[in-house]
Amino acid sequence: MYGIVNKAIQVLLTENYGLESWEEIKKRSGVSVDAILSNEPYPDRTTFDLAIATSEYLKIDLKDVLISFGEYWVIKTGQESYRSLMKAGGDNLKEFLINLPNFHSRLMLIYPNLTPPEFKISNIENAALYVHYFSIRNGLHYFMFGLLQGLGKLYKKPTEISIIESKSDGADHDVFCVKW
Amino acid sequence: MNTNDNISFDHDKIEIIFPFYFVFDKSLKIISSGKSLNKIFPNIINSNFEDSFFFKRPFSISYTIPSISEYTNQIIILASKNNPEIILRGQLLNLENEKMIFIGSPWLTSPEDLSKLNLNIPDFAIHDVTTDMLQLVKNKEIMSKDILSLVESLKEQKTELKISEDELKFSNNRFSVLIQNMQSGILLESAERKVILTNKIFCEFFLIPALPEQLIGYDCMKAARDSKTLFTNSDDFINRIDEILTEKKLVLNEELKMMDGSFLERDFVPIFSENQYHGHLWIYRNITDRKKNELELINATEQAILAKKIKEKFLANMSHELRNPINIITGVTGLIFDTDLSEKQNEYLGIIKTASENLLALVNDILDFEKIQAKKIKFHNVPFDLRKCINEVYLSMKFIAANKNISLTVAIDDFLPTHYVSGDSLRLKQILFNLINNAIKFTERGTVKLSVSLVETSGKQKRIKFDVQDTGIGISKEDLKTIFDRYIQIINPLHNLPKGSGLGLTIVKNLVELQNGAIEVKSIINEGSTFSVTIPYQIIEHSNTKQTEIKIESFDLSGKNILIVEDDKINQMIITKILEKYGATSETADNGKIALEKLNSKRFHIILLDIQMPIMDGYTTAEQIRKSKKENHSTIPIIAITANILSGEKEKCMEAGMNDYLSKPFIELDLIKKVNELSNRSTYEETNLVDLTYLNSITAGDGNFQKKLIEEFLFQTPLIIEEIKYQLKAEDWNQLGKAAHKLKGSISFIGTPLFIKTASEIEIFCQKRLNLNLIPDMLKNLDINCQRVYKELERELKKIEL
Repeated sequence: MYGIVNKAIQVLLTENYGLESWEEIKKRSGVSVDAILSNEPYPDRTTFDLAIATSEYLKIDLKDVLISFGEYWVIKTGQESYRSLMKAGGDNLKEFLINLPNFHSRLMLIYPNLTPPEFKISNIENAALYVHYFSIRNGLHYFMFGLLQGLGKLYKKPTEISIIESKSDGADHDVFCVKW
Repeated sequence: MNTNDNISFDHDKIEIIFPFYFVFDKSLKIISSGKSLNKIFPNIINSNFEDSFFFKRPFSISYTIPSISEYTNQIIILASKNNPEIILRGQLLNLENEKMIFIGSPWLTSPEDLSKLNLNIPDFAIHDVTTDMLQLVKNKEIMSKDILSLVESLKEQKTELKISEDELKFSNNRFSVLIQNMQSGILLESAERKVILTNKIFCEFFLIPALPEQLIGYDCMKAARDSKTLFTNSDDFINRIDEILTEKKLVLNEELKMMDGSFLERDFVPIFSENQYHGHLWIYRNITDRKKNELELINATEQAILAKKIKEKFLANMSHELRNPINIITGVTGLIFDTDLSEKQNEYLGIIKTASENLLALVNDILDFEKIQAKKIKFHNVPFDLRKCINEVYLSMKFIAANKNISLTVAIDDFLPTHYVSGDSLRLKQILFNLINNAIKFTERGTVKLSVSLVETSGKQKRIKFDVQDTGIGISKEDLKTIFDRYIQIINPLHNLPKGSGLGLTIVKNLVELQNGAIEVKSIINEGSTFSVTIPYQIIEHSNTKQTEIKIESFDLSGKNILIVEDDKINQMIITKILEKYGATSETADNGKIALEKLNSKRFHIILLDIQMPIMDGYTTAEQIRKSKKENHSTIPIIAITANILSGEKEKCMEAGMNDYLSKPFIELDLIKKVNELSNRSTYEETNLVDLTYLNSITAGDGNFQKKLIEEFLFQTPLIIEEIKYQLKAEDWNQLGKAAHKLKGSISFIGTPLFIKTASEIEIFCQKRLNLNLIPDMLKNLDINCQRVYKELERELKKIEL
């Protein structure tokens, strides 16, 4: 995971719970870096450890923590840092989601050390589609859930997301159904 | 595609891979375009190339197909004629029929350009890296933001550091200013003895020709060695520094003498923090002026003490010189009175007697006054019979009153204690003599009355009031104000001339007040005066003092051989005659040396010893006698007869080994009493060394308690003496000192000041390791005297048991 995601977590926690909470969560997570650099690759474990430490410290379910992280990333950090690019991702949610596979493939070219998840869009309808989420890492599908939820909010479309298939249930990838 | 120069054209396919393409014909009319280009240029179809675009590069190109065709192998940069900011980057290819195609995409420099052109990422061909480039640009921006954020953070930290640094600098500066302005020489050294900070005054003290800041980091060990010659004892200066630095303890006010005669005072402050030694601070002050003042003060004090000593010595000498002739006058007068005299001779002799007595009173007044002034006067606290004392005063004064035809009466209150009281009877007599004498002096007719009454009782203490009332001339209100002032004499109109020293009432007042008493006077002119004295006395319920009462009639010194050691021939004669009157035989020695010789060849019952004598004085003589191993020499009674009656004289005599003391001029009766008392004892041991007054007071006369204390003393003291002997042999001075201290405590209650003094001296000598060679002799004397004390106490025990 590139630093920008971890940085988003840092900003989220600092803005909402204060610097001391962030320092305490960072300490609990065992993450020893002083400053997170956006374009540096960090082990995926770092993001996950931060989520676990946040869950323990703030006594919030890990699932909710990950969803919050994903949503925040899209709405706040993604918007602040990639507003124009994200906007250029499509004129509407459907377009953006359809373009999502290319978007992530391009990311791999730009971030040579990153292995971004792979997406496939299927079952495209007027107001719904399936997002297939292929990730070599486990446990971050709720982060993906949060991202999708965030995109709905970004495009001001009341969105209903459901997990059709899940790796945790034995499927080879996660499938989200996004309806708007 | 048939040739290398001409490419076959399929709009749909071309549009997928080049969505920003456009085709123009030989008239430069744009005849076809891609969907994404149409988003930017909606009216481009059928427009003229030259109307829509211009070649930004190559700008030298001509707007004709043949010319443009030459640039198919170059990058073509086109700008919109309507909006030159819209730039297309790509290349040109020749198509069939002199048509040309532009393939490329918009040149974007930031992701924001996308929205400006109303483009989305899907508007670009999948193979097009333009959007990837935009992503990279974005990343670069983010990275820059990160860097800026880190730089800001570093700036903040730097500002904080700067603030801390400034604060530190300010604090250091204040400290430095403080040090520089201090009036003491300051040297702050590190633990490694390098200069951290110093000031100008320090440099001045140590004659260092440098600025304080130039010394920072300098080796102090070397500096100290360089400076040592400034001090009178240079080696001590260095050694002491080493010692202080080894101990690392606070040192204050250490004085250093400089070669130039000035003095420095030094403090050493070790600096510890969290048990870590960080260095130390030296503070030097110039105390030359203070030292000079101190020395002047010491000199002045020494001068004053010396002057006082000279004065005392002078008084002692004068006392001796005055008293000796008076003694001779009164003695010889007494002897002449015993011969057959005519009436006239008797009368003249009486005048001589009175005059000599007056002269003696004057000398006594002056000496008493001096003693009071020097606060050297001491009061005895011994039991005496108050009624008897008053009677003696009456008997002495009644003849003087009778001579003036004045009646002297005594009225004693019935409530007055019939028992003994404890106090100083001689001083009481002196007070009463003085007041009655004054009353007689200023009364021409009538009576002088002494009234004695009890005014207050508090436990065993009673305040007794003595009123001396006369019917004399009285004292004016003015005179009453100054009556007790020194040298003030009230003119006696009866005689018109003042008599006496003018010190009498001052002495009386002092004597009364020093005994916690009070004196007041009431007077009415031509009616008389009343002097009232109140003195507290302790009541003694059971006293054995009566046992020492001796009737004058019983004096019989026949069979006693007495050695008179006296350099004055007349005094020798007087004493010899007096002793003869009571049946004693005597021999004379002109000085101590002759006395010692006589003692070696003859046996005497008692020695009367003058103090001031040529060749060997009385003190040395007594010491020699006591040291002598001759039989009875350590025990023969010695009575000091001295004209020196200054305070401490008696103690000095007792210390030298004498048993009693008589001041010149003495009353015949006093001499005989003392001689009788001491010579009647078979040995010297019978002389009382023990004074049980203190024991009486602390036991409140409880015989059983006294017995217990004495028994305890008799048990403990020999053990302590043995311990002292043992420690002396072992030369363990610490333990010996402690044992002497114990002995001092033990003997304090039996009232033997000489022994207490000796024990104290042994203790001090041991503590200070002084005069250790004297201790064996001191111990020997102490041991001998203790043996005597034991015997006396055993006798006392028997008396208590009876």
